[in-house]
Amino acid sequence: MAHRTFLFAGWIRLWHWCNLLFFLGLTLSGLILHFSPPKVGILDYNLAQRIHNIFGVALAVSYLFFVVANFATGNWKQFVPRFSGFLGQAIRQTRYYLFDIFFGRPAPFPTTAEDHFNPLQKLIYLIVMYVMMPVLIITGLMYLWPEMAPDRLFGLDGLLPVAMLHYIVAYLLILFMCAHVYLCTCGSSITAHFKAMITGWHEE
Amino acid sequence: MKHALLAVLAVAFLALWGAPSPVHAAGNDLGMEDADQESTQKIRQANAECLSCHTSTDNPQPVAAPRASGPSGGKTAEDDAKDERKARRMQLVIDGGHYSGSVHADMSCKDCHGEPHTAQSKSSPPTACPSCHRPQRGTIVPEVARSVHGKDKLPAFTCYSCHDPHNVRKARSLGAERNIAARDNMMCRSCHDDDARYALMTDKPRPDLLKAHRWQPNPEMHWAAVRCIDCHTPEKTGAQPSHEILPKDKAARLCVDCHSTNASLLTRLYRHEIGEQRVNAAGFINAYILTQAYVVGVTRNQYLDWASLILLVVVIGGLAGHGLLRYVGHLARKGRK
Ligand code: HEC
Ligand code: HEC
Ligand code: HEC
Ligand code: HEC
Ligand code: HEC
Ligand code: HEC
Ligand code: HEC
Repeated sequence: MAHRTFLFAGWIRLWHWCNLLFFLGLTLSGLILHFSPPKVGILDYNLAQRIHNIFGVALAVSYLFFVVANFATGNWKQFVPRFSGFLGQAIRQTRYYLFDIFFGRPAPFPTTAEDHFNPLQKLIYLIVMYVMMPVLIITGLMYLWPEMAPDRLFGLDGLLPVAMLHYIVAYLLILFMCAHVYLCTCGSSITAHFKAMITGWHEE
Repeated sequence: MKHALLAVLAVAFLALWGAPSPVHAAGNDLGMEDADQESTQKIRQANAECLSCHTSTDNPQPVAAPRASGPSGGKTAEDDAKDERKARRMQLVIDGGHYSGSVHADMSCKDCHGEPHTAQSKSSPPTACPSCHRPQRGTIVPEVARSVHGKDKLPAFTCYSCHDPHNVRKARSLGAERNIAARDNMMCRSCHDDDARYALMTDKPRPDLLKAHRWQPNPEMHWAAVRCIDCHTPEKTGAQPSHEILPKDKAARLCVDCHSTNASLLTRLYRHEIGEQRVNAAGFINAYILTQAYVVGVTRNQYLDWASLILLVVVIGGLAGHGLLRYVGHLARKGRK
């Protein structure tokens, strides 16, 4: 309880939980659309498709909000790793995750008000938020309006690469989400990080 | 020995040659002769003569549809409608180019029209499809009669309401499934999207097609890729689709009928391709569709699906193992204290 730092502004927390909601809806409905099981509860294909469209657009909007707010508030700096000595830092952080953490040793890059994330986190978040999310959203919108996709590509339907990319990126993001949730249990207590995203206060 | 073999081959050849095709047998009943080069040539010439007046392209002064006759005064709205119906049916211009590419190109116009421009020809309709196509009589005719259009006894609803008698083509000859869908859907839409033509059949208001299909995303995109009959007729195996248009509440509306790896669509629209390999070298299921459409749920990639599963197991397993080690470390440290 000793040390409390305020990390997450209200808009970040709000955006974060909205993002979670949209992501869960999109994951569930997306898996149904891809694997097309006969029926999952009341979730048939038609409903799944509708949910996917609505949540997809909602995700796009919330992403846009995230990007704008990030630049407006300067929060974007949190996502940029320091390039000098990055490799060494990344190795130290990896060693922590794969080794030190089991012995209860302290994390090499503790959270501070200036530095919310450790170097690995920064890199991963940077890729997720500024590479994968745009690809996911753009391919998703192309899917929603197929006339935006190339009509034909190498003799195959032009929607094919769009659909494959959408699926692959979405799937990697689902895996990221699993890891993200798990790593959130690695705070000073199991629930510390979750509380931080609810109250905004980080506890050491 | 050699002779015997030749004799057998000859007999087989003659048997095949002589075996009447169902249609030709019907044709012979109507006094048509089997076509040979010369008579085909003659027929085409004679047809060209008819077409010299009856096409819009070959003739600078095309035959106009005659105005409905009769006194102009004292007509009721009903009379007007009747006249309009008559005028519409009397479209005297046909497309010669279409005709020469159709299945009936080598048939004389007179096979269906008898001797035209006579009092008799004007009062009697042209020969109907089933009179020649006897084998279809047993299947298609009852199906059409059972369909919504047949049951409602729509006036003058015949085979030609859908099939242009001067441009009948086999679906296979149209190539890509999209072309088949375009042709077949035009049959329905030329009436269901056309107030005037629809009104010739019924007084009821024409339901808006797009509105009726709002339950489905992007109907126009779907109609470019699937046929109306893929949803509106019962599924039927074999080369020919069913002609029984079901009432709207019996139409297929389950997305997974099409959007799954074993979709009924595959035995319907894509039936010509069904013999082809289902999984291709790159691991795509129902790969033959990919040249035309990526259909979510249908054209999946097996390798990708397997890779997804393995990756999921690795990630979840890794995280669970990590958690377990953390827990063990935690217990060990507590024990030491
Ligand atoms: C397979 C039979 C068939 C053949 C062959 C055929 N027609 Fe027709 N034709 C019809 C039918 C059936 C109609 C009536 C269509 C309708 O009622 O909508 C028709 C209608 C017409 C009409 C419009 C007159 C009317 O009563 O509506 C003309 C003109 C015509 N055909 C000319 C020709 C010419 C010229 C040829 C040869 C190049 C030809 N047809 C070959 C079946 C045929
Ligand atoms: C000289 C131009 C001309 C030629 C050639 C011609 N037609 Fe016509 N056809 C007409 C005209 C004009 C009408 C409409 C007036 C009428 O009903 O007589 C007509 C009407 C028709 C009709 C609808 C009414 C009916 O009589 O059944 C059919 C069917 C038809 N023609 C078929 C043919 C066929 C088949 C041939 C070739 C054997 C042919 N026509 C050759 C000018 C022609
Ligand atoms: C006067 C007789 C006659 C009429 C009427 C007729 N057909 Fe035909 N049809 C034939 C003949 C003969 C062939 C075979 C042509 C060939 O093999 O070259 C044929 C071929 C076909 C074929 C191709 C069949 C195949 O397996 O190759 C189709 C489809 C067809 N007709 C549909 C129709 C439709 C639809 C109508 C009504 C608009 C119709 N026919 C009216 C005589 C007729
Ligand atoms: C409601 C519209 C409609 C009516 C009415 C209709 N058909 Fe069809 N017909 C179709 C459609 C659509 C196809 C499908 C072609 C395809 O995609 O294979 C078809 C296919 C066919 C075929 C097979 C053509 C092929 O590609 O091998 C024949 C033969 C045929 N119809 C004959 C008839 C006859 C005879 C009648 C009248 C008893 C009739 N049809 C009435 C819509 C109709
Ligand atoms: C994906 C399947 C599907 C396809 C493709 C499809 N329909 Fe439908 N259609 C339906 C269903 C389901 C209904 C019932 C809608 C309802 O009850 O609200 C329907 C309703 C209709 C109705 C009745 C409308 C009313 O309100 O009375 C008509 C007419 C119709 N369709 C014609 C067509 C035509 C023409 C095409 C091709 C351009 C077509 N359909 C393509 C599934 C389909
Ligand atoms: C020549 C005009 C015409 C053509 C062509 C036509 N229809 Fe229709 N269809 C009608 C009319 C008129 C009705 C309304 C019948 C009634 O109200 O009794 C109707 C009704 C229907 C209905 C609604 C039945 C219901 O339960 O309310 C469906 C579905 C349908 N058609 C599908 C098709 C399909 C699919 C095709 C093409 C294969 C087609 N139609 C071709 C005129 C046509
Ligand atoms: C009759 C078969 C059929 C039915 C029923 C059907 N679809 Fe489709 N759908 C297709 C085909 C074929 C395509 C591919 C069209 C293209 O790419 O041009 C498609 C495309 C799509 C697409 C665009 C993405 C893609 O794969 O190209 C979506 C989204 C979609 N369908 C959703 C649905 C939903 C939701 C339903 C049920 C309400 C449904 N479909 C019912 C055949 C069908």
